[in-house]
Amino acid sequence: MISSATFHVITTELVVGSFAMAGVCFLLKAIQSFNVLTSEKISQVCDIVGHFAIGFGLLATPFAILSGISSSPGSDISSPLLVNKIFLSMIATGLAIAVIYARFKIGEQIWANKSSSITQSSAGLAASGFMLLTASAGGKFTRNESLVDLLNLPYDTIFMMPIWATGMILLIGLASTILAVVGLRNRSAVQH
Amino acid sequence: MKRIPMLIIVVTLLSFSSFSVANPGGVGDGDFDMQCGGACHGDSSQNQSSPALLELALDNTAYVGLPVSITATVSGVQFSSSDALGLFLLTDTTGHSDLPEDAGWTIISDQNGGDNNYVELEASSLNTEYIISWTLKPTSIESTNFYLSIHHGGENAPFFGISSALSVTPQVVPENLPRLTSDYAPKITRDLGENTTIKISTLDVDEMSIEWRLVDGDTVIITASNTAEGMWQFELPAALQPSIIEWRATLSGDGPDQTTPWFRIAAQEPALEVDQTMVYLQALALSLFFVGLVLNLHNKFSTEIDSVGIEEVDQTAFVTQSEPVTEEAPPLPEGGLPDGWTMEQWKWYGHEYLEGPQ
Repeated sequence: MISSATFHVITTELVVGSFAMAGVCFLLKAIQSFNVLTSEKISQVCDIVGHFAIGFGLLATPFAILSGISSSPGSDISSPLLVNKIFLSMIATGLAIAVIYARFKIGEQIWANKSSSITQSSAGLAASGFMLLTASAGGKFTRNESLVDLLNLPYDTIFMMPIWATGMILLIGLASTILAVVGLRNRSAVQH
Repeated sequence: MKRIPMLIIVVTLLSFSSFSVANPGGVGDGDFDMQCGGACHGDSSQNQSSPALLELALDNTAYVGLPVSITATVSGVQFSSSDALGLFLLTDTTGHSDLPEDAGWTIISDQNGGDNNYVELEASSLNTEYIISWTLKPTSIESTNFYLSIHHGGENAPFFGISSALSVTPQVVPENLPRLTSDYAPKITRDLGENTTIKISTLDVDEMSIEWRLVDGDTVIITASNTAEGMWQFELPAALQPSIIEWRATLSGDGPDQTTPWFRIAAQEPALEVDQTMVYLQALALSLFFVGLVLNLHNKFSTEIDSVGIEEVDQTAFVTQSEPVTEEAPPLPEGGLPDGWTMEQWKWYGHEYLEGPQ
């Protein structure tokens, strides 16, 4: 048996590695949206690898979160860094889910239009960025240092919204997600 | 020709990995098996043998259920600059199930104010020797071998070393021995800026004196007050900045006087007080918000693509249907359309009718 701390290291390395690879692919796709590096081969490879990597990272994320909770000292959220890690990882997870769902529903047509292409690559890049920031916060928590220390990110500050604001964002998010999913499903049904 | 630049890029990226191998900044204190299960120095085959001299010593007689200290001495490690030094207290060398807990020993406190078997020190080229200790409590009479393992860096390579075994056999507590109760667990952390009352539960103790000191500071001696049968307490002053205070008690009674190991209590920033449900709810709300945002943008843009396509189709149909046939059709002969002709036929073949023999 391995300890939860070691399992957390394994799963976070899987998550970070996958999201980093996806980030590179979405960066190239973002560049291609502006008609630079317009190689069809690079485009296809980045499309497939980027979505596969972000999907694999997404699968490994729950294991990383659960092993992280079980290996953290104490059972409570005792540090602002841990709160920020939860926020950052959940935002990254949301973005990654949207990226994969949109690609699944719209297909290759997602790259046919500049606006949709920029949206998809930006969301993929943002998901990767937020997940790497989560990993950076983890490094800051355990080792008190991380690669992004140069940016002086306010990891010790948390932004807690009042309950009404949280509820409002939750409702808006839920409603907009349902509407978008229905819209994309209808579009898919019309096309077929 | 593109292969050569690509090869150069790959080789350059791979060469950077050597700078980041083996967590040169350390991994933080924790409960780790030997070699951290490969998570600290990566592949164990990359490790070089540490030149450090490692020694373990038991500070006092170990009794079942009573705390005792094990002191580790490390010497002979040379650093070119400040670096992290990782030390493990282990009960096995197999790399798994080798924590003191696995052998029935509970770690009460470590050098850094925690209760971990792995601690990291900030090493320096100015120090030639490092002495640290763990306070543990055995729960059975079984003999246990303890090992001290070391992780450090140097010459751009990870180093690993392990000491010879220190065999410890706990003894049964003699009658009337002044002692702490077997379930006593000292407080090891406290918040900054608050006086701390330390409570101690004992057996067969008539008098108790306390020594406390800041790490490497002067020792202060005070007398603990007896609050009830077998219950004692004393107060530690507030700390204004993160620091560690060590304290130990001298217990007097009918049996021979006993001195406890040094216990450590770390003063740290107050723990964050936050409603966990609110944190998880807000995280879920943010996640859903971004899912909805991205999907709605895609929905909007994909609808635009569809509507553009539909408009193109409609325009074609409109042009075909609304185009007046008569504008392109040849003029009708006198008497109108020939018998049996439709207007559509006249449009396409009317000119042949007019040109041909009538």
